[in-house]
Amino acid sequence: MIEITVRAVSTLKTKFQTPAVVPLPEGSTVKDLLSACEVDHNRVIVLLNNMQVNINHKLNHSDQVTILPFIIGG
Amino acid sequence: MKLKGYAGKQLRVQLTDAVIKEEEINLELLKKYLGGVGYGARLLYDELAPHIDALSAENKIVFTTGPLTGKNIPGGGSVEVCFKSPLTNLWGESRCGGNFGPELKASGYDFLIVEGKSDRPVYLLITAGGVQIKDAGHLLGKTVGEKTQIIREENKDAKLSVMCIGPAGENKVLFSTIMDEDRAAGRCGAGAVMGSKNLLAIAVRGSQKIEAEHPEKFRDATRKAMKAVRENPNTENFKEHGTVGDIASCDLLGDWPTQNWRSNSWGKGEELYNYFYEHNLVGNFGCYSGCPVGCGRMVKVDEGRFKTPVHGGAEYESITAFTAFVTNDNMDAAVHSTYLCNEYGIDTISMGAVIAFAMECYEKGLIKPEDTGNLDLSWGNPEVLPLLVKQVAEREGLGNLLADGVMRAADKLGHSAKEFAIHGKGLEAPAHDPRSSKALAVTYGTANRGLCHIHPLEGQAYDLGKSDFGLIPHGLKDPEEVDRWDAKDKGKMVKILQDGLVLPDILVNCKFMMYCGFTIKHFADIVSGLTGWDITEEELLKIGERTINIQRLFNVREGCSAADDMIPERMKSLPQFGRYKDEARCAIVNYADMLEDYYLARGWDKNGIPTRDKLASLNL
Ligand code: SF4
Repeated sequence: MIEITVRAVSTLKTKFQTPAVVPLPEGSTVKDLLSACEVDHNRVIVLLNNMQVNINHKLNHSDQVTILPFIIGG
Repeated sequence: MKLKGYAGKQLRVQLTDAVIKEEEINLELLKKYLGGVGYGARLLYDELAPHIDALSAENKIVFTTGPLTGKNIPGGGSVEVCFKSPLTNLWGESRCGGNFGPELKASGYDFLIVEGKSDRPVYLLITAGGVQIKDAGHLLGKTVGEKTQIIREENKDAKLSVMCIGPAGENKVLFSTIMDEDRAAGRCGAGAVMGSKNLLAIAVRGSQKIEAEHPEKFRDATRKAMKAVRENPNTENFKEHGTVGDIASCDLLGDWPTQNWRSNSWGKGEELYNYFYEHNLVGNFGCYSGCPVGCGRMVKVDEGRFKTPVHGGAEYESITAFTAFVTNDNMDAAVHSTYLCNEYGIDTISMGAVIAFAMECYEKGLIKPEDTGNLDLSWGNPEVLPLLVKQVAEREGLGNLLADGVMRAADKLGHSAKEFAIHGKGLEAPAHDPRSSKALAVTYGTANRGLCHIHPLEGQAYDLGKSDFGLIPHGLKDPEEVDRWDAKDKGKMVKILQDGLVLPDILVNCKFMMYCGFTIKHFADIVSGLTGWDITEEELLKIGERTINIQRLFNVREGCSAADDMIPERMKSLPQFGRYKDEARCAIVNYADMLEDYYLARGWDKNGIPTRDKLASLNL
């Protein structure tokens, strides 16, 4: 198992209090993390250790992830 | 045979001699440009002499609708205003949401052309009873809300759709707006053009129905488009948080111009939005009856010195201009100031930008306390924000210098002021930062109306937001495979994006629908059902390209060239502070290469002039 620290920006409705530590199986991707958090991957941008990553990016133990609700066109 | 999908006529009002004329639409021109900023650009290119003074009787202002204007079409509560801009002395256009566009069309006119200059203040009334030029002496000096109310009351029609200027337009503030209640034709100084003609307002109420050539096909295409919008994830975001909900994310992404562009992030976006959500937000609204998105914010400030009644406003751009631009962290002051801008008829973006510029001048000693009437223009001082809005609207004190925009103010102040007057073609820069995504740099530099917030946004939405707008079959690279900081191919991609994303302004529809699921295919199907012309996606993109080229020709005739497509140095440089200050990739070092790549894709020469071959291929 790996553990990822997740912070969601306040405008994103989540089912959990952030920051939260989310356990995931080895080899999990950003997409897996988003589904574990019940966040629609079409509506967000994900920063990993401050860099934007795409949903297929593989996560490592103790990665810090920020989920941003991105209002395209704002 | 009656033209379907359109009203079929245009109205020409010549104010100098008070002549009102109804004209047939030129069908050949309509098929080439469809409407909106396409038809408007061709008309002004043909009818305006080059180098006229934008605030003289020789300028014209055209209120345009298009085939997708109508309350029964998602995003159809729109009007596009076209004119020569007094701020840039180039092509000027500005969209306004609201009922005005649909009402104008329902009163029998696709286009309203206003020319000449009245010798006294007047307003136009367009109803089933005819078209009248009415005295407006009693409206002088009134705010937007007051003018709207008086016009409705004296004509005993609470549903009259009214577009009017505020005191700023009367005083010819070069970035004054034309307002439809809380919505604005905001950029490029349309309000000053109306003010220069002594035309204070236009009120319209129509009752005619627009028929479709193939009603079944039209209904089906509209239903499909509506479904796509309703199901798009961005729609929910827009509804819940409006455009302003993006300040936290943009701050984190390095897309939040801060302290007159010294940085692209501030670190206070989330905290500010949380305060706004809790204290200022009342609810959402659509800028016309029937909008399926309803991104508008109803907001207020309950108490204190910035107390503000409930009103529609607080857009992402407006709030950024009065917070990050000037590093003010008092959200109540920002909400209050943007409310005042709407009531005085001032563009919130340019207003915030001129204050940021003035604050930097103050810091550097180019503007001294005695020049400000002893106002303290230190960064972040919330007290001066509403005061400066009023001073600009009335052209009082320092307001008179700022009312002409940063480019002219910097010329007058001299010294180093030019280096931090952040504008493109004379239009003050808006609230997204190209240090977050390279495509935005190219869309910023090449937008025909200058450094605006509407046309260039597709660059950011593509590079950062990973939107493709259904343009992949038309040559757009999949945004998921594109690095936002990479310059490669960005010029080429911008050409494709621009040709597609200009379409809402041609069809006169809200561009946000394209951020919420509308694609070129939806447009093609709706226009075909309406007009019976069987328009394909390729033809629409060609009309987009033709429109961009005719607007460019308008600008070239005014002397515009590659030098005017440059973006300010500060906008390309590594941020001076904030979370990206050590992130070398956000600096823009190869802008000239991207621009060359763009010109090549456009078929323009190295100086940014459309080639003869290109013009011939577009039947121009
Ligand atoms: S999406 Fe927003 S801006 Fe567009 S028409 Fe609807 S309310 Fe107006």
